[in-house]
Amino acid sequence: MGMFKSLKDAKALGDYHGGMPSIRGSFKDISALADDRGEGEILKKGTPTKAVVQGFTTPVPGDRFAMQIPLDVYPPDGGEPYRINYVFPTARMKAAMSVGMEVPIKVDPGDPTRIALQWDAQRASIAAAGGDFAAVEAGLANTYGGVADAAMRAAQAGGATLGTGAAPADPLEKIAQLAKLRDSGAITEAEFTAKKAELLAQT
Amino acid sequence: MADEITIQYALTDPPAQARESWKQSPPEWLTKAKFELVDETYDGLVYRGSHGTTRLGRMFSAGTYTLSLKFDSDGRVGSRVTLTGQAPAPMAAAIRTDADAHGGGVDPRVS
Repeated sequence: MGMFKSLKDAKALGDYHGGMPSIRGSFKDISALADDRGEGEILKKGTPTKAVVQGFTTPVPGDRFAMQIPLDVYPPDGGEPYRINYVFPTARMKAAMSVGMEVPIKVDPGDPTRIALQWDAQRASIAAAGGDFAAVEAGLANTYGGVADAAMRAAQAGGATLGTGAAPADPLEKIAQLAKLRDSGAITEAEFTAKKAELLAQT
Repeated sequence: MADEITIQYALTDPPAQARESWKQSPPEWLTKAKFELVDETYDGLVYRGSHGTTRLGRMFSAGTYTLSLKFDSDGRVGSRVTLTGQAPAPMAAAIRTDADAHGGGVDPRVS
């Protein structure tokens, strides 16, 4: 019979995912999914400002309906930014949020660690930045662009040549390499002795 | 979703001033479509309107339109406004006309 087969298939699918949820459990899940965790109130009464994303979105252990992300919040009345771990209801997420992005938020005037992200406005920020991909790319460049550039400059200042394999930095290793070159006839005994003396003087 | 629009065009005022004057005197196409200011950010505004322009139409409408605006510096003295969200067709046409009057609108998204 078709109907019994469908029920059997539904049960098999439920078992595959760890068992069918109870009706009570389903209502509990729906309730948790719909809970805005006080964000509605902050969006109504909060003060607008901006935050800069400092990491990537990760799940909250033990909470299936929330995600977390580190943000540097810029106080609405000026001053130094402060770091918070923003835990937000996943169901409220409407737009991309990635490291380095500047995002519009509202801050609870009574408790600056409580914030709410303005998701509709975030969509305008992403569009203005050139779309999802361009916004993510710009955010990565804001955060890591300087780091990569600084690393390359430091490496170049130290005499290393990027991308060609590092030359041995240890003088004794260099002497061993020179000895191989001497043995192969690529350099003379005099050249080897001169270079060896030079390298030993460095140690 | 249908009725999606994303457009960016130039304004002569700097961002903060452009945002404030937009907030105080929104364009006619916003008020005519009964869109209301529902949220403000440090650099933008968010408007919301119901489907249908008549009272009956709004009463039986299935949902709402949300239009978000962001005001950025153009790098000189003026600003760029980016609008994204949903707008009914007549309103979308009026936005494009408005953009044309300000030197033309573009979709800023590259992908």
